[in-house]
Amino acid sequence: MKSDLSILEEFGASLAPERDHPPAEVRHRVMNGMRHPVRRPRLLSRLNGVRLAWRIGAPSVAAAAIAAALVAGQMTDIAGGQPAPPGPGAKVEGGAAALPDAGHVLLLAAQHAGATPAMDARSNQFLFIDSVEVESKIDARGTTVSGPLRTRTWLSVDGTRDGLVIQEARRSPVRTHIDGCTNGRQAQTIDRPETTPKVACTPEPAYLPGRVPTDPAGLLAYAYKIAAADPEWVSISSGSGGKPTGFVRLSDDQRAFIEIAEILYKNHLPAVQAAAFEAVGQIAGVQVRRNVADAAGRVGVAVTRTEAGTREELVFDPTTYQYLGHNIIGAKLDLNGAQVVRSPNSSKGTAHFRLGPIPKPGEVIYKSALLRIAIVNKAGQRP
Amino acid sequence: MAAVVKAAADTDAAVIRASLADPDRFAPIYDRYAAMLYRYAYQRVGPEIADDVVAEAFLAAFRGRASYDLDRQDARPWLFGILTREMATHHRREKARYRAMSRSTQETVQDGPADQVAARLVADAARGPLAAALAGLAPGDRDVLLLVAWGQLSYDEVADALGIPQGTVGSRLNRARRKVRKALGDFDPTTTKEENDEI
Repeated sequence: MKSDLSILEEFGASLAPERDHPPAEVRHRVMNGMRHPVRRPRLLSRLNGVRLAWRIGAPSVAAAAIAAALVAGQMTDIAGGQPAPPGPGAKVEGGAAALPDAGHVLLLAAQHAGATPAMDARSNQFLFIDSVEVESKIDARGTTVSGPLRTRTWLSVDGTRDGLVIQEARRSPVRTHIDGCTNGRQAQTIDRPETTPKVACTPEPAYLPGRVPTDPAGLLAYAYKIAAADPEWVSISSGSGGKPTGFVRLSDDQRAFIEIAEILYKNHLPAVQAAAFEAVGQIAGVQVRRNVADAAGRVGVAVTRTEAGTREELVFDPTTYQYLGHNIIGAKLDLNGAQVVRSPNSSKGTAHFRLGPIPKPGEVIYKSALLRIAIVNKAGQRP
Repeated sequence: MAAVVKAAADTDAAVIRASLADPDRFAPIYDRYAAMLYRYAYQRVGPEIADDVVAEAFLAAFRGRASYDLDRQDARPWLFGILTREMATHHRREKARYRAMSRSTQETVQDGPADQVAARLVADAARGPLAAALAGLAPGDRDVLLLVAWGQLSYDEVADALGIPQGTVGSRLNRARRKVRKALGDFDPTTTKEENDEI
């Protein structure tokens, strides 16, 4: 008499495909999907919350501090122009007074952003973001420090059109197409629209009110919601043979901080930026740090949050409180109270595996400095 | 030295380890397991989306390779776990598929080697009740049952693949098999005494 399992097996056999192997195009798709883009703007990694190959599988490690120098003239667009908002900021920066606390810096930054007039933008236009990046990474050939690399990004004003990133590289610029959320569908991996299936999406406007709330409490809740849905683990060391000896899960506070840094890169609506700065002030554990250089070499005051051997920094102009950019810097790895697991073993989220030594305190892992934004008609068009 | 490296490269763990630094070296994992995963996905979700879930599972595996436990030489349970998660988004569709099978008239038996035809006969008779039983299982129970019956995974491997304790594998499997046996009861009662209640 046959057992239930063997009858089930036979039933299964009757459902099996006639050919043994999946169609060749499946292999093609997988191999294409695995192809590692040479460069990718890191802050765009989670556009729309869809999975993005950019971020994944890109272990980066600090090599050495990088002296980033860029043409000073390029920076006036962002740093200049707006006067410092009136308020207590002027006093604080004036004398040898105590360092303003993070909440204070963020409040001034929010005031500055709130006072910035919104540009005219039609839904079919593009937000042009001119930026410069510095990144160190390690691969099979060793550690390489790249940058400053000029990075130009075009994002759909209403989020429904395809965007573009052009990053200068050693030989020729690298162009990456960003799939827009068109008719409610978007490539699951937005920088590889040809190789991944389309999934349902909600457009994420780059310069119109939309998914990202414009009030601090709403934006904070939004960032924490993403943080909870998409946890992140970081390897704490690598043992023999490049094998991770353990991972720590980033706290929701740290993840929310990182999420907001990403929002600041990809959404430049003044109301969103202002709300984002105020929201950061509500995250536990933020600190302030003076004399912090951004990827363009500008020195400012930073609001930071440190965890799992990494210090995330939001850099502001010390007099105008204009937002300058985002830095990721190596920090002392403090595992006090951290829960170390051997393997993330989770169906959601991302694990970052650092190959080789972990970054030393102070080493640059990544920097992105904002030079200029503008509204243009087409992706690829310069203002 | 080179010989040592070459020998070590035969295990899945060694391939995955090498791919951490050099992504191109992940390809052998696909070539080793694509057929196995494709068959399993095809059985469960059908031809229309088997391609998609298999491709996505391999890409998810690739992206998640940093979290692979390099002590495990055999990547099969890990891959089946990832595939199971990819298919989970299609569980309604899978269920609807079993429902449709349970209603459809039995297929005519095809010509072929006698043993296969005989097997088909039993399978065809069992088809409706089995499909109905599968449609009625809780997704977690169905995952365990089918990983064992169709994926040919051991209990340990199922526990590993799904990230659940072995005891849970046992209890889910018992529960699923009880339902399957109940469905089959009418034409081929196969009650055995070994089954216990849930752990």
